[in-house]
Amino acid sequence: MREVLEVVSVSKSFVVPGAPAVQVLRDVSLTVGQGEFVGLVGPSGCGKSTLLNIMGLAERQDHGDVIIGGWSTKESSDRHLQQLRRAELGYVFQNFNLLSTLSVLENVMVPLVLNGARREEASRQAEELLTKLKLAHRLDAMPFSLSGGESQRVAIARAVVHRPKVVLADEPTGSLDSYSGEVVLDLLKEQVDFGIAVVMATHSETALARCSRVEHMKDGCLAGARGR
Amino acid sequence: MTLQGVEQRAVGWFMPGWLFYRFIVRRCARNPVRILLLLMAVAVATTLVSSVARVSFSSIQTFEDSLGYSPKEYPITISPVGGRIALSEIGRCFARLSSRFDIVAFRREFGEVEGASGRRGVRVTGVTGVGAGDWEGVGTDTINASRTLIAENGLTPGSSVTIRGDSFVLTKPVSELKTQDGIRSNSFMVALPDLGAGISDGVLDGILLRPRAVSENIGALRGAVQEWLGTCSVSSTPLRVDTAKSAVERGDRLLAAYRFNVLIMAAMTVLVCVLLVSQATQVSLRNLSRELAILRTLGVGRWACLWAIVKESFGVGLIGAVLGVSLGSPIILALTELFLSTAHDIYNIELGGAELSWSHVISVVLVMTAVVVTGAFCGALGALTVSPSIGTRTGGASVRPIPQRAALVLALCSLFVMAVVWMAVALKPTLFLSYLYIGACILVVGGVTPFIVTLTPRVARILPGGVSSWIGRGGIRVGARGYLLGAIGATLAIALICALSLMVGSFRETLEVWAKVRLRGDLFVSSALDGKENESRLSQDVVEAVRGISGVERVVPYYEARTTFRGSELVVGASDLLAQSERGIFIVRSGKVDGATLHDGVEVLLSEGGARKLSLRPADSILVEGRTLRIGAIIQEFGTELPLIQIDERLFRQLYPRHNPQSLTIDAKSGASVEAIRHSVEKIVGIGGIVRDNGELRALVLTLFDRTFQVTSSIRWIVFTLGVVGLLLATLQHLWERRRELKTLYLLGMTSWGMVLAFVYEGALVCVLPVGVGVLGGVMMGWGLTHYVNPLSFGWSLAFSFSLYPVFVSCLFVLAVACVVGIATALLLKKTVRGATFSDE
Repeated sequence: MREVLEVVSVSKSFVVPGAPAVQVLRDVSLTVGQGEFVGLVGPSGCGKSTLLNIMGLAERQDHGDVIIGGWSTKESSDRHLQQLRRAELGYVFQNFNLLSTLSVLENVMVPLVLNGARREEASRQAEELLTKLKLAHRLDAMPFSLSGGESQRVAIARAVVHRPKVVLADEPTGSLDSYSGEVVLDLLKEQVDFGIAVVMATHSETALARCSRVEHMKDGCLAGARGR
Repeated sequence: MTLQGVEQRAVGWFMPGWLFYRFIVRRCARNPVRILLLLMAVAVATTLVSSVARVSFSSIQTFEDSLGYSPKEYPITISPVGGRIALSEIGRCFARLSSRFDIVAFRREFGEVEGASGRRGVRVTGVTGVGAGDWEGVGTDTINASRTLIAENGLTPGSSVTIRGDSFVLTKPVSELKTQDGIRSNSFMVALPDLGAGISDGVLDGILLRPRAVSENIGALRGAVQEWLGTCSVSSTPLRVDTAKSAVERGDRLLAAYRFNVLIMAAMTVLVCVLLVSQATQVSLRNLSRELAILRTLGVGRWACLWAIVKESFGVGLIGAVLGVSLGSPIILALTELFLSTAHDIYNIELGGAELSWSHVISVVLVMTAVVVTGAFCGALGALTVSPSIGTRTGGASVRPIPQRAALVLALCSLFVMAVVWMAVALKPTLFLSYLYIGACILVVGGVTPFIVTLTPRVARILPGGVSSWIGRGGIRVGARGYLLGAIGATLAIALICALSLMVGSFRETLEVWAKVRLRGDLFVSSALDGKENESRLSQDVVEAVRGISGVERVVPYYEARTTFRGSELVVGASDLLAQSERGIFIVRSGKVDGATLHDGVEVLLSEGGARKLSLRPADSILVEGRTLRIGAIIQEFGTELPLIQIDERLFRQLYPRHNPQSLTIDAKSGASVEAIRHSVEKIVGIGGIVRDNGELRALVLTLFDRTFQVTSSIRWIVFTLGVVGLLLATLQHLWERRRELKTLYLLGMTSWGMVLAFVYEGALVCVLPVGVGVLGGVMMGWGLTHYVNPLSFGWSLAFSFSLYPVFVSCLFVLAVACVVGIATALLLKKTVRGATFSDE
């Protein structure tokens, strides 16, 4: 199995003015292979979100390296990180984070357009994917008019439409009812079947049941993996 | 009713103070940009309104001062119309008048003064009678003088001044009201005992009356005096009995046109201020809607929600107004000074009352606070519709597109009203209808803007641009309603700026053409004094001597006298009409100039303002000094605000045999040295005349015009600033609302520059089309002001001329908004994008 994401001995601490530095991640190493569905679990404040931010190249680590598709990002420029985020990564948020001023179709088109696709081509591909996700009737709807389940399906479509190597999901079912949560997890699993690796932070046992591997975090360290 | 031993108080109309503090005041601290922009807008508007109020008050106060005496002390004046008062003719009335009044008499004479700039002719006003010696600084050996004269002659209080061989000590400067066109004479007000003695066989230029009984009704007294004069006077010159109050009002009317200009701007500024406060409140309400719903669930009443928002605005209004008056005081004073200096240039007067007073500050602060609270109340009305709910939907940007059909209906309705008013004013142009036309233009600008905003994203599709423009367009399409009031405010500001600049531009262009034609010639010689009858003018000897100078091709003398027609004062100007029409000196507005009839003195020319004021047309007759004259043509004339007729020199000399020329126009022969001629002329006229190059005069006319409109120009830029701040407020609030989306875009791989560009694109697009509407509306308003309001108000018709200035201002406007939005986005990106992204959920 080809490795698409490697976290090598990453440490991270935050300095709060007037208080001692807080070590959030301590020497964390993690490898994610192509088509792997990795669950990240742990108590609140253990460093899951920080690890996702660092894996998602939204934040820089103090020590260690994050390798995406064979590219070390340790010395990378902001521009290179941006290109990697744009092309190799997809993001799913608990609160969907759809762009409120763009329609459903346009939200899904954004990654394609940013990656240089022509507007017509991006629209065709986005429409195709949304149709598969049973959202063909909501193409022109605005995000505020969508239900939670619909919003998260659109968010997943936006995360995978440009075929990234890794999708990072933070509590993707956290704001959803059980049925919508199931639908969303099925969708993520489908992406895994297409060869996209998914790293998902969650507290949900149902969600963890879908993962091929679960990593436990505690006090900024990976406590160990449990394979499924 | 008690709950666990605590007495409950119902939350009705108002939110409890502690909740208000936590809910509203703390939020202000969390979103300082919104509050700062609001404060700025209120402060700018306050500064402008305060300036206008200050200018108005100081203008009125000044014209009281400019009379040279206290209108309260001497409330009734008697003045001759078109001549002087012969004491022999009015003397019989003095006995009757002196039983009820203290009488003071004026007489103006030619004098000379020696100062640092040499010897020059001046007009000396002598005063005698009861109480004349009490006047400030005026005694038997002391004088006061106009500020202009003091400045121009390098005099200082305490200087010794020689007038007609007598030496006087200068006490203090006084204001002086003149309406000359820059070739000014100056006046001295001096107590001359011998002048009083000379009255017995002389003439007077004015009489002031002070009632002995304080409680007299001035209006009734004025009527009585008019009646007595009718019975006891045999004056050959018509006498006008006036109250000092109406004299002040007449003087003040000279500046009323400018004040009106400024007042319209202030009114529009207040309107823009109300709009943007309302807009800011609406956006604020949307941000708070979820929390308000929760508060409603917890039992807070809907009116309590509304008042909480209005209370916040009251604070903002109060602080903004105080800031506007205190920080803006240098601007207020500078604008007032500018206005006053303009008045100084045009009317040769020093205006007073520029200083700020507490009563002024308090009134302006109260007015502006009321304006802000009104705007906030309108914007916060939406709080009444917030229903209690356990809101789970996350807050986001203002995703409320404008309903296009409703916007279209509004636009069509406003256009329909405009069309009806336009037809009405075209059929019967009256001042009321012309102002209604201006109102309709404002209505169209406000009514069409919403529809135009809905079109913006569609039109923008044809524009080039990448992802940034695409995202920017989405922002407008969806958030249009959030931008609406800001866009209307900006559109109104641009429309106003364009309208006034086009009107002023048209006026300037017309004046430039007029000056080129009317002030044709090489040299212009004017009398140093604008005296009457026996005062110094350019004698016939001077005219003949100038004609004899080598290199002079033609000398055209100009005469002037005053008379009355149908009870109105009329200026009678005279020159060789045939020669003047050959020189192409008249711009004919109506009728035609026939050289033959002009030469015969059969026809006269009437000024356009005079034709309107006296309701006369070509071929009508006018009676001047017992002669019936036929009006040959209506001409353009900016030289005087009074009705003016131009008659032939020969006829004038028959009617006014004692009048000498007031000025001369000299045409030099081709190739002759104008400078040499000028020196020769200066030697001939001496101190009794001023010699100027006609080119200088033409430039002076435009310089004076530009100075006059400096105030409006300054205020235009304040309105501009307010418009930009209004639109920025709307745009930046949208940006602030969507700051989380910046993170998402960042994660999706959009570059910082791309994000900045997206919001710049959005801000610029929100401006472009509405500002276009503003320009069109401004052109319509400018046309109305030029075509209807100006001629109906002032009697001058102007040629409407379009300039690129509005386009320049509009481009600058869009650029300013785009730049500030760009900088704000960049700053916000720096603050929000970096750092935790997932954990912020």
